[in-house]
Amino acid sequence: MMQLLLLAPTSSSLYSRSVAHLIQAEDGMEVCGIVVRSILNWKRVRVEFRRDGPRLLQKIREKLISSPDASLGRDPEGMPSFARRIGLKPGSLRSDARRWGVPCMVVPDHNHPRVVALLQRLVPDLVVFTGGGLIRQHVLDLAGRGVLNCHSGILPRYRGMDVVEWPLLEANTQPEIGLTTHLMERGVDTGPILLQHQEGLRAGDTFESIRRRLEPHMPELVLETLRGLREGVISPQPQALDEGRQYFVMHPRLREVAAVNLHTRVAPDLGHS
Amino acid sequence: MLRRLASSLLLLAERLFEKGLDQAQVETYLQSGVQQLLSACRAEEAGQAAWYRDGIRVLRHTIELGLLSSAPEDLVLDAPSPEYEREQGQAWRERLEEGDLIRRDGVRAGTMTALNSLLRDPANDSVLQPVIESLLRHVELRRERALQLSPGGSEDEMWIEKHGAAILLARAAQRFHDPRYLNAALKLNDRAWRFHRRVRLDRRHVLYLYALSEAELGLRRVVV
Repeated sequence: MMQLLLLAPTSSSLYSRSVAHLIQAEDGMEVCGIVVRSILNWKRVRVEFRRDGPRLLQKIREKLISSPDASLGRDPEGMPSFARRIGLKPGSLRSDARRWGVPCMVVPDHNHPRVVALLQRLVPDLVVFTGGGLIRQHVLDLAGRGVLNCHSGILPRYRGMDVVEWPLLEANTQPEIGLTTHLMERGVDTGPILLQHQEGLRAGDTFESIRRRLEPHMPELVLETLRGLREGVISPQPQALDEGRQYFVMHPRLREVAAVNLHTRVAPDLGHS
Repeated sequence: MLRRLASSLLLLAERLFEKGLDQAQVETYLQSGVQQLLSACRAEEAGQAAWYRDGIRVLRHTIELGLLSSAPEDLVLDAPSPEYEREQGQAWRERLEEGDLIRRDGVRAGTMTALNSLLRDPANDSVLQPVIESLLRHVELRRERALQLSPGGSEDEMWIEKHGAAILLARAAQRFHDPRYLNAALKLNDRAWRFHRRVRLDRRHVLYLYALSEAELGLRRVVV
């Protein structure tokens, strides 16, 4: 039985809950523990605001304040619809953990000594990271075969932030947009690649619609990767770092250009569906 | 009800924070700066002013940007870099190869002037690119705390270094065709805006005009 420890950004994250739910429903693997990063944490808010700027407010609004059943929840391709499709009941990771009888810990930071102690006690085969900040080396070292992450960009080309927008700014033809599962290293998105999902563009797409469409593929790709690792059909492929770059949050003026590219260069080639 | 109120307040805050400098703001600011530069450049001693060469570059850029139709006939828009600056640049080239130029605690005053001088010669590209890459990471990760002077210096010296970095990144974006550098230059210019709202003719403010005009050129040449 493959024992997996889940690291989550919040207890209500639909992505984290979907990953945990899919793992529990799969033969030959189980969640042996859950670590949730606490939201009421001034240091976290400060660090994330510094990293994401105003987009942190958007994240708070969309993920914590707006009800998932509101407008986005009705999008048949969005995350809330996916969660319903896989039979995820309303609740939180804490209630899920209680139901499954596995330990669930709320910590200010995933690198906290309590997480180290939990890792030493549970000795998981693999840690599945579903968000919540940087993971330090001392935690990576205790993670069995490693820490699995699903990056919302195509590696090795696009590491870092806003990797839906950057390909659209740079590409004149079909941009590389999608997801990559990889094992985490100290560097940002630099670890060995496991599996990828390429996402095509559609007429009328916006950055938000592309992201919404990518989200439900994330838990699916994580599960597919776990299956591949368990069956030994996927082996981590080291990244050629010189084939890619690290990207940062895109300035609004470049974002405007990328949006124009999406509408004038890329989407028109797709025809109308 | 409470949810809706919180959501609206957050949406309002997002819009307020999100706003970087837009094209119209930059162009208005540049036009105001150009008017002041045009009259100041005609003064007898203008050529001796610390801002003069950068001011000439701003005028050349604004012509290319279409914000100034052409240079007035009585003004020669040619201000080559003085020999001492090139010599200093070469001395810095040796330090580049030693690395550690962009440190977590900041940079030495004069670093950006030297790097900008070195960027004029493509023969320096291979040693410059790793330094510009570490400058990019420094600016993106340190954000407001980026480019402090180490050891310390005056506020003007610090701003000269910050504007020099924005100019360097915008020029490097064009040289290496890398929009990430332009992205960082635009952010540096945004952060400097509230400290430079009124155009003045001193080196620091003219360098800011230069940084803004170089980023506008970068936008046209690299991504649009």
